Amino acid sequence: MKNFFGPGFRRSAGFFLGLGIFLLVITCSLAKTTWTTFPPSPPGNYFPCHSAKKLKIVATILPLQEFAQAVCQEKGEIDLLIPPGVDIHSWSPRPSHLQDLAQADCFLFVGKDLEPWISEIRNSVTASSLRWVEVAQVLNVQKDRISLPGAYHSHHHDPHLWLDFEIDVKIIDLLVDVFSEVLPEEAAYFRQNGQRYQDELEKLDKLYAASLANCRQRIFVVGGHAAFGYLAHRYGLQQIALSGVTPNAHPSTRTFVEIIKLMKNNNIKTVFVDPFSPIRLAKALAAETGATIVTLNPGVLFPPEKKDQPGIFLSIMRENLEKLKNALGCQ
Amino acid sequence: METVWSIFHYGFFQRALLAGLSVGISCALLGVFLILRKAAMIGHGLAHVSFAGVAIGLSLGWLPLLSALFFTVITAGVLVKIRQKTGLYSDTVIALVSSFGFALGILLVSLSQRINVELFSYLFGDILTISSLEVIVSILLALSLVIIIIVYFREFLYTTFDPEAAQVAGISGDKVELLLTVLSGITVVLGMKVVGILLVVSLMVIPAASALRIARTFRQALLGAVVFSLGEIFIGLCLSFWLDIPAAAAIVLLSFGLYILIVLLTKRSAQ
Ligand SMILES: [Zn+2]
Repeated sequence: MKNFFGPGFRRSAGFFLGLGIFLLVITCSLAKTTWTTFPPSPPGNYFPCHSAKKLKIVATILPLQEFAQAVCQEKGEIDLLIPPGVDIHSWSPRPSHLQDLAQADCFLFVGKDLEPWISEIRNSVTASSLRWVEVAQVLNVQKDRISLPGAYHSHHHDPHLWLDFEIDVKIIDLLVDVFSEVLPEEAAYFRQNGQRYQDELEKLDKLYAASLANCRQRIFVVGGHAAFGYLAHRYGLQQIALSGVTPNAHPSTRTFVEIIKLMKNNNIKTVFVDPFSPIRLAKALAAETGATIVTLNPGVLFPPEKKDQPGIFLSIMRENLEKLKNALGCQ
Repeated sequence: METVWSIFHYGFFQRALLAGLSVGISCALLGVFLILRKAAMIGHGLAHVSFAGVAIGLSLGWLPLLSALFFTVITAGVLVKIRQKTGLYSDTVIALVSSFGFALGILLVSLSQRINVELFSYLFGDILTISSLEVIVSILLALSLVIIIIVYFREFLYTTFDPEAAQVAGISGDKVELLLTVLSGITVVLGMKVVGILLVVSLMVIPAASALRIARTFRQALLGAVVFSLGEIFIGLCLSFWLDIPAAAAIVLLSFGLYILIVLLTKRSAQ
């Protein structure tokens, strides 16, 4: 008993400390090489669009891909950077992704709240005419930014700004401007295409507003991360989510119990989840409250086979509306 | 008015208590043997191995509890065999095996980008999502562990306190070591949902160390460890709700505080 802290303990403690430091060093050096050994893009390949008259665009997430596609139509070739079905909050690029970027004309991303790795790769992809388009710039910082999406506070801005269709309209304007700068001879074409998609967005916005105007319930519960703050804010709903605006945060026991109580007091019988996220917590919440689990798609998750289906973002949003109407008991 | 006891009405909390208490019994009993055999770090090593087992389960879509049980028990057996065959110190073998386990886990996690969130619940514990199946497995395994310790009590006792006499009496020290290590592997896996892979070794070490400070006989030490462990897990789980802090932190810090208190008190009475 007295020898518990004897030489054996010291020896193994030292070993584990060493092991930890070794792993730390390896991890750090690996992380370093990801960024520094990136090969420079091949020369003479910087302006592919001018020869082919086609814009080469890379977008991080589905809504941006769809907006760009709608604006460019056949004058653009748009690649999706973050593969469908992957958690967009924890994804980060590998060197091969940077190579693709270096050959593109435009890179569309939301902003540092969704893609914090942007600032790191910016230095690695310098030798190209790539335009970096942060769509969060369309936000009126004072008015539009939502930082309190659920009932429980978080220190991050909500990055899911594409769930507000008015903001999407502004993003289309931005894309039309940027693409017209790269291909000035197609400016009128881009403007016309953009307008057509903006009309669709405005129609959808009106449909949402009308459908969600008269509802028995104005609170909806998300058994995952708080992705729907912008949507809730625009139509006067309240989102209550188990985790914050990114999926990493785990609710405390007390938060969990408070949400159970809130659901019971308001007779809420639906727990919304992401279609592709683990739903253990949502299941526990549903079991505790007798609620059913319904998927609500934040617009970035879709089966890979639907990747090139036109208008998939709009159709996901229409499906979401039906599910919300059901859950909230709207007329 | 809501009372502080309202937490006991919730199904998830009842499951966490049942799982926690059965894990607590297993950990406390094993902990006493492991400390006396100077093999306390084995829990730490096997916890790292169970990390790989969880990652295997999550990436293949199996139940992580079962894949972790399977992988950890196999590795525990291999660990003992390596030590007995090579004559290496057991802490060396533990360091070898645990770094292998952790590296394998890291590899699997990096290959599959979708399992990160769920993996956290195993690293740090997650009392909100303990399933009924996990509770039943925990209770059954805790029961069998108690029965095994009762049945082989003499063998465990001899090989722990007097290996030479055990040999004379015809008890195989190697077999007892294998059994204890495999049981530790099972217990580590059961504890990971309650306090997490990173802290599960504390459930084995701290209550047993506290009991060994004050016990006069070996049986007292075993009983004391179980009492400490059950009390600390019960109060820790309640504190996690009352004070709104993570359950793993509440349980481990509470038991550590109690251990320090016991050390201070026994020091004074010894003077
Ligand atoms: Zn999200």
